[in-house]
Amino acid sequence: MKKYFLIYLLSSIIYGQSGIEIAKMADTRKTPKDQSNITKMVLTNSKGKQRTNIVRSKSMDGNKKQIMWFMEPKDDKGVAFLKIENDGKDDEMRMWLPAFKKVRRISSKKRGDSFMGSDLSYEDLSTREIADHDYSRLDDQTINSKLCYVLEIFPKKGTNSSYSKHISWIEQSTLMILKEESFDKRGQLKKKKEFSNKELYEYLVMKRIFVEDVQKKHSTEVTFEELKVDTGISINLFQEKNLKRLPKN
Amino acid sequence: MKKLTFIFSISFMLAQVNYSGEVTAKSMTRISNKLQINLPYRIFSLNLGYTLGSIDINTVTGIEYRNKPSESNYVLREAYLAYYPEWGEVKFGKQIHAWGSADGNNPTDNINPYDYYYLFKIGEGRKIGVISFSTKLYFGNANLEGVIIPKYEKNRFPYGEKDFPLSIPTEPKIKYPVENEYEFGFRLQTTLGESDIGLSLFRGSDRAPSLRAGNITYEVEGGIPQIEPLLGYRETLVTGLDFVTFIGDLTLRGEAAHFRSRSPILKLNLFKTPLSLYEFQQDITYSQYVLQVEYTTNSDIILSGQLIGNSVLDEAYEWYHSSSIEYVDFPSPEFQPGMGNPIAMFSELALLLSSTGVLMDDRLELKSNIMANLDEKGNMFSASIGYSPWINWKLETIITKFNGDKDDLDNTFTIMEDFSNLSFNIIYNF
Repeated sequence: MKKYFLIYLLSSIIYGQSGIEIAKMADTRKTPKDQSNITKMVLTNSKGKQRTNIVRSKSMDGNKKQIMWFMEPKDDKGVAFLKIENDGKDDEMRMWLPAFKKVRRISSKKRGDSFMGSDLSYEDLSTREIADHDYSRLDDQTINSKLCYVLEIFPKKGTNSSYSKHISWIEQSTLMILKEESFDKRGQLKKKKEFSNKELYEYLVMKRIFVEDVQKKHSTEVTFEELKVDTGISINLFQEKNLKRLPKN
Repeated sequence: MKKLTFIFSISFMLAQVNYSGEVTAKSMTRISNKLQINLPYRIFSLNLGYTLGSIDINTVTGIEYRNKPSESNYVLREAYLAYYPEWGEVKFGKQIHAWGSADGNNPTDNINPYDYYYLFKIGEGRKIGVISFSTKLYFGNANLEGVIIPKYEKNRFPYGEKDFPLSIPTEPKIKYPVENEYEFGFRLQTTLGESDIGLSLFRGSDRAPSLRAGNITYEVEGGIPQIEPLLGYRETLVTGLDFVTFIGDLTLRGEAAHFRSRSPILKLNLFKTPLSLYEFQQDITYSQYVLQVEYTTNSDIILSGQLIGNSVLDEAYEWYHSSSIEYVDFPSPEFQPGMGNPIAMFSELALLLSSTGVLMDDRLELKSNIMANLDEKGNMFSASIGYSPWINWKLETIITKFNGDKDDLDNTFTIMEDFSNLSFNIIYNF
């Protein structure tokens, strides 16, 4: 028995954790119960022209429940978006369109659709379910002097995804993602993403995402301003009636 | 008084004020003769919201402007108080409601009358606010909405507008206004699996007038009766069903409504009713539906198709005189629905195809719409290009073309042919 334990210990030291174990560790990292922020998206096209979108966002359960109110551009002001991720079935997504005075249920099946014309898709904004993906660990790498696990992530057969695989760089000391490359269904590199984080109370939270669609030669910089965590957001906030009302803060 | 002012000032300071709006400059040119089409449009609109805790006060105001002769009109489109408790929402005031799941042309959406000056506008822009009390209760995956309207409102038609082909020269006199102004409706919506289903019921008076009585005279005794129409409004009960569901990459939205429309008894005084006055009684059931399929391509072009239908299921009418039980057989006018989808006046069966695409980071928006009359001949085509040179500014050019049937001069598309136009809009959002 002692021999087997020694072999297990030695192999763990030599090979470390497997891809799925690292994904699970990252998934169980301590995260806030809820978050609110003002999300600023700067879209830059291949000619360098920029456009800015601003939304106010509140979320809980690690973004599984999220509500957003569009602030800019002004012709979108008042539009609001509600997303509720359900385990085992499709997400529920609804939009309040003031021009129609209607809460409109929208399809969550086309997860590859662009969110607000940005380089982020609805899929990029959703939680990546561990059970729906296969993970393999590549050689560790260092990014900006930070030692990272490198994981290759494949959506399992039957998983609704617009990607064929992702390569993610996860900082070993914090288990926060620092970089990701996503590949389209043909296996071609589609998006490059860079993440930066900040410490807020006892948490590490994302403060910036830079996404480049290498095929479209288009990029989006997302910054999260006025970040607040654990403010006691009620689950009742994620009801369609609240889409119609812009919160004070 | 000082106390009240103090309380008001404090609550105003604690409240959140939201505003948004639009300024539009518009020019519309008839394609046939290159002359200006001179109809009013909303040059300015302002949405103002005041939020304090669970209470909102919202107003939507606007200025309607006509280029020639230059005249403007202040319009209060909505003004209501809303209370949002944990269990739902309660609203009172002048409101615009929206029922149904399709994106426009909704047969189940009958709470608000339509403003026919804005017939080709999408969404709430073509509706008229009504004084109403409404409440919506949320429970689990379902919600129940109730609306009570104490004061009747009718559709707004462009009377005497020589530039609008469907206009009639003068506003007809309504001999029998609505007596029972109270209207009400309920809608239950629930999520079943990955679909939403709604059931609705609404009882109210028609938004458009119809024949209620006639002064019957004869040029020669026993000859063809001459009918002087006297107008009023039928009472209509609408039961509706709507749904939204997803099949693969397609989104399906559908609505069907059953209308029972009846003339209320006029309660004419037996002794004072002239011998020539005959009451017209109608009892009609008709149905309308819309089935919408939408698909978003990989390049974010939204394609949508709507099949819009309406048909009369059962029609019974009777002329009678309050002092006589004698059966009379005067002709009846062609039935016109007084509620439901306003597009029903164009066709009994129509197909509407539309596409929307954005390019250059939403700076350029391209849209096209085709409405084909599947019942008779006729179609409408419109295409628009919107370009945003600066943030919050948009320049828009729209071409709208009607093609009718030259052998059928009563065809609505034939009548609308002369309305084919090119419009240019400058829009500023704030």
